[in-house]
Amino acid sequence: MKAAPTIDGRLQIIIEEDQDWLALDLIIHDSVTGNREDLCEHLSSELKERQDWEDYIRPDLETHFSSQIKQLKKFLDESRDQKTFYIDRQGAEYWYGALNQSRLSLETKYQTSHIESLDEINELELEMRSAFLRSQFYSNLQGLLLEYIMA
Amino acid sequence: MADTQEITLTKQKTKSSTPWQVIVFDDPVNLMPYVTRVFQRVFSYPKEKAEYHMTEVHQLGKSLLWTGDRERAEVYVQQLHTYQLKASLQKSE
Repeated sequence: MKAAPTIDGRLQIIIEEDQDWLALDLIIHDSVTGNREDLCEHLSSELKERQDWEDYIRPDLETHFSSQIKQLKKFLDESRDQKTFYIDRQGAEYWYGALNQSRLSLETKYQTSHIESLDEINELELEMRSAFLRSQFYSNLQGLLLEYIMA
Repeated sequence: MADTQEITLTKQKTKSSTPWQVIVFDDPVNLMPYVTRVFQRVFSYPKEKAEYHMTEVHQLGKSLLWTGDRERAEVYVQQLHTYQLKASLQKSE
């Protein structure tokens, strides 16, 4: 897979092999590795008065986060027969949000942010190494979206 | 009667004018440029001020982003949660 910004302000994704789709589908899978309830708990964990937040804010947040994942899944499903597709400024918002959900979920389950050196990666169990590499891939995609599309 | 009303109004004014603080906490996932961008968007801060608060979150674990009335603080916290930033509000001491 290759990803590069275009002159007209979009991110071009070039699919080079079938496994690239697997990597992209894992964004959806990883977003529910934790779950949306956990994400809302994480975001609000420092709130002291929670009742109003639980009653009025949480339902909207859950709907919003769920919508980001649904939009990304729809986008991927509709792009699946193409070798090249583009993420525009509008799409970048839900792509970024979905990637963030996936990274937060992976962090909750694997604490990959504690891994700092390449030597450490080689010593990891396969599941942990895979989670770390996926998190890095998602982070790199987010970096491209931020720098070239959402700026 | 008139005196009683006056006292009540004074108490309400004192209660509603207690400032509230919006605080953002560090997490290991959100990218620093993203956090800066969210602070610019939510609080309309200039880039330098947004970067200052982002750095404070990153280095100190949290930053006080805004102080003011409760209703507005609640809206800010809701917006920050929507952007997946860990945020809270508390009464100013």
